[in-house]
Amino acid sequence: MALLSVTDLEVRYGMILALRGISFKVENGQVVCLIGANGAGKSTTLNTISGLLKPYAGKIEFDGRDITKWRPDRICKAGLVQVPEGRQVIATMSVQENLEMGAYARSGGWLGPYLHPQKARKLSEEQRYDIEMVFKRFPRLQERRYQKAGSLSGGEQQMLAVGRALLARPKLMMLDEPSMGLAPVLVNEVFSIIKDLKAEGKTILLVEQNARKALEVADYAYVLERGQIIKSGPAETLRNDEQVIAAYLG
Amino acid sequence: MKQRFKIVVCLLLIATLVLPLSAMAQDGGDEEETPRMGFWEECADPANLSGEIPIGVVFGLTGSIAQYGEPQANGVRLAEQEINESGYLGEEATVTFVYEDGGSDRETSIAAFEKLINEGVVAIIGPTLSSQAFGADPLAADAGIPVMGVSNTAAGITTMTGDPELDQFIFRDSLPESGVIPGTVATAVEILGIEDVAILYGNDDDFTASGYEVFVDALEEAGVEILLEETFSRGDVDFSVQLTKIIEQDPDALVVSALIAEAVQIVTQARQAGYDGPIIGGNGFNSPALFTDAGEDANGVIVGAAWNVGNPNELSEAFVEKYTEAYGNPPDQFATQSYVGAWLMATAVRCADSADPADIRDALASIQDFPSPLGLFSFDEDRNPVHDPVVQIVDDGAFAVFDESYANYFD
Amino acid sequence: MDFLIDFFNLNDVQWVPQIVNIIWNGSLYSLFALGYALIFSVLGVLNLAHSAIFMWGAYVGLWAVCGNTVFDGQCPAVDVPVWWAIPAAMIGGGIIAILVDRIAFYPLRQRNAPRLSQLISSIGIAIMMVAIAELVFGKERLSMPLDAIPRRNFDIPDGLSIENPLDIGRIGLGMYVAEFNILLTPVRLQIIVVSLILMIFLGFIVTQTRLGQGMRTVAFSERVSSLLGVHVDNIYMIAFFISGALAGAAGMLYTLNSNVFLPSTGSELTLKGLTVIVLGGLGSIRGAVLGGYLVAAIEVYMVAATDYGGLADAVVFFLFFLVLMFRPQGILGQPLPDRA
Repeated sequence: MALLSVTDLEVRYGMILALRGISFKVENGQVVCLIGANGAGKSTTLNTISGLLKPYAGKIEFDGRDITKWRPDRICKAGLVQVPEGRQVIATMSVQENLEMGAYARSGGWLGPYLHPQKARKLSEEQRYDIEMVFKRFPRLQERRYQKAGSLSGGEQQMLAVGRALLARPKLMMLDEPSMGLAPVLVNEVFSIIKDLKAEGKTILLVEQNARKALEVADYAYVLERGQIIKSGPAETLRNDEQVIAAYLG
Repeated sequence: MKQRFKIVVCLLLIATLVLPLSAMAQDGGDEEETPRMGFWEECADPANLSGEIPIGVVFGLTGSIAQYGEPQANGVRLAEQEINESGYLGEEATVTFVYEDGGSDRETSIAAFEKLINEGVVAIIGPTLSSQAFGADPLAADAGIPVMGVSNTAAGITTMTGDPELDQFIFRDSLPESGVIPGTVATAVEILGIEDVAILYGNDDDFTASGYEVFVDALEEAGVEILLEETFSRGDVDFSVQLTKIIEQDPDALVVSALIAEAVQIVTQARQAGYDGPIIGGNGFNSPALFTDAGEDANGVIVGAAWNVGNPNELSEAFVEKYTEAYGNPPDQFATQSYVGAWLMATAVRCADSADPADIRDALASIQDFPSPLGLFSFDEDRNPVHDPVVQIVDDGAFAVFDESYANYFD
Repeated sequence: MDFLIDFFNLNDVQWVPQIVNIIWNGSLYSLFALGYALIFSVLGVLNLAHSAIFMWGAYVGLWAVCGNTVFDGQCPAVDVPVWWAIPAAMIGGGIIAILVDRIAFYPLRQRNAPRLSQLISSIGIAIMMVAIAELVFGKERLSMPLDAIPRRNFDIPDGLSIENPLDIGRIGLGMYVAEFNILLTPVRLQIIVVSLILMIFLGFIVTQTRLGQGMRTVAFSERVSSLLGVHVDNIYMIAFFISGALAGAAGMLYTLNSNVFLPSTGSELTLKGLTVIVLGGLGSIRGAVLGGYLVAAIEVYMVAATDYGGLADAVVFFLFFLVLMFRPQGILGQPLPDRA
């Protein structure tokens, strides 16, 4: 049983078909990437899995449960966490507070999540440990711990976004265009982060325009074009596929 | 015009000669038991009147305005009965009041006036509201029919058209604020020995602002020092900042020009703050809400009015008795003013000895010192009423007539 | 210094009582503005129905202590302690605020309608709520019986002894009030105390709890919040409840002071509340508190120290205008993009 399996997913924006029935799987411990041109439907796919968009047809199963109709927050709490396109760190909060927000999904109870005081000193042992681990992973964030997230550079923001997602202890992380808008040096840095995560055995669904980099880190890949999967296979195979080379790696 | 005036003067002269006789002849024994309205000594018995003389009456009889219109209509009904039973207009003639609902808006009153004028009434009493009067009265004036407001207190009612030829048909018997306040201030100063006051008034409302000006003139006239003047806006519910200043100055009296909603708040908050001296109010205080909403805090509020149910005046006492008997509850100021208005109209018809509206107008304009529940009643040259106001004080949750017995009330 | 005192004409001002006036008036304004600011900070939209919730809260409180006679436009007797009206008004205001959200904001939010539409929708529901209040409670003013509310100025009560420790506070307050010519009734003291408690409580919630963090995250982006596991609809519901409860408390305290219940109550506060939160800083909790006291101070100053008390509103709105011109984010606010 795959950790995530998407079956015949169809999404419409009004009359426009954005996804024309795609199916794919992410196995536990795998890094899977979706590549494709702008407007191919990559982000639509992720947002539908995250529950931000409602599918017209099809089925999404995660960890053995049908999550097709779930609210986004419930999906997040189930351990399927998205790092959104453009980082989307909370600019008005400090780095520390952003990370605390990452742990939001893990606090249970009905009234619990709301009235439970959540300042650094009152975080659970586990959460404090996780935050320290993020700082260990990204020492630059630790330096800027109490700065507003809006004042960070693009690369630091990406680190923060990833760190924040890690705080939810995700079973599957979905990264939406993590390299977009970053300088080439930083792009390498981002992919080395992904490699590290992969080395730790994390399961990742990666959406990237930078197909070359994505195929370097991924185990398996799907090529998306105009809302349809036109090709799929192990990343290594696709890297050598002429059609893929011509369209995305050239 | 001049000729008419001469005729009126002649009539008056004749009347003064003949009236004592006729009054005795007509009404021997009755008068001594209960004083009666009418039989104004200045006019002779009418000789030329016959049939039913129609006079229009326009009051707001439906909707929320009926709380004023109903007592007004009751006052006129009572007057009608008395006038006709006593043969005030002679053996041959009776007066018939034709009632029309003036509603609460201008248009309804205008329609009522048009209808009455077409029906050929010789005069009209009403309408209830000043704003309606501004719309409807010019119709009557245009038609040359005298019209008398019995509850219109806005400034300029009787000079509303700006054309003296038309204005001369517009009368009122309801004392405007400027007629009430000076007497109130003078009485309060005289009885309580007030030397200095603080004024609190609403400066964004025509009614309260003009009341303030009248107060200032009256206080100057009475030689009272104004320690300070404070203002508020309509809709304010808190006056603690102003009252803090005022109480610090320790005035002999607090003078307030406000509508009833703010008046209640000012009175209660002044009392809350520990001020227990006299509060002299404008006409806005003339409302039962003062007692229901301010309760015992209202005690010691001094307000002038055209009339009060406890008026120490024989005619007034007789009227209160009759009205209470007829309708089950004592009359208010509106009922009294409409009652007097009906009598004034009848008196004008009687004195004119004619059912011609122009003659009636002239007779109406020359009424002087007419004894009524409002006191000795006259019209001034602008056809506004002249009579002594009643100064009232709130004592134990009701208006009482303010007289010497209250000289030590605040000690 | 003397120059300043002369310039601002402060010599004749009685400091202590007027500062007390500023404090309780300002507490009321702040309390009203807090709920306004809370919704603005979470939604990015001004809830112009806030003053209608304020008014409804007062009526609910009145109903709670007076019973069903309020529907006939009367309140002949209050049989329970009058202070019960405050929690009742808070619960009522909170529930009504949630209904306002569901009717006026939620459908528009679902459709991603522009913020301006939401603003206009809130004006619409405010008008509706006033009309409904007129139907239910009548257009005429309603009042509690006079003896129901302890309205007398604080005084040294008879029968208290300096030897009884419980009485010392009351004797001290009474002496202080008398000495400085202060107008301080139990209701006004209540206004100050309740407002302070609620302000501190709200401050705690927003800065110290998960709920507050959730709200701030939703304020930043609904989408990001839901990706972080925040139940956005719940946050909106709770935010509206708290905002409505604050409005209800403010409405109840305001009407307890004046004892005037009218469907139009609070309409004058819509603009004043807007001024308060704009002065302090849109969407800032501390700003709303500061703005409330600032507006009260200006109003009291204009009446107490100048002969132009009638111009107090004009001065407040002029300041409002200056702030909009030169510091649109308000005194304590941070610049915010795209709000309506």
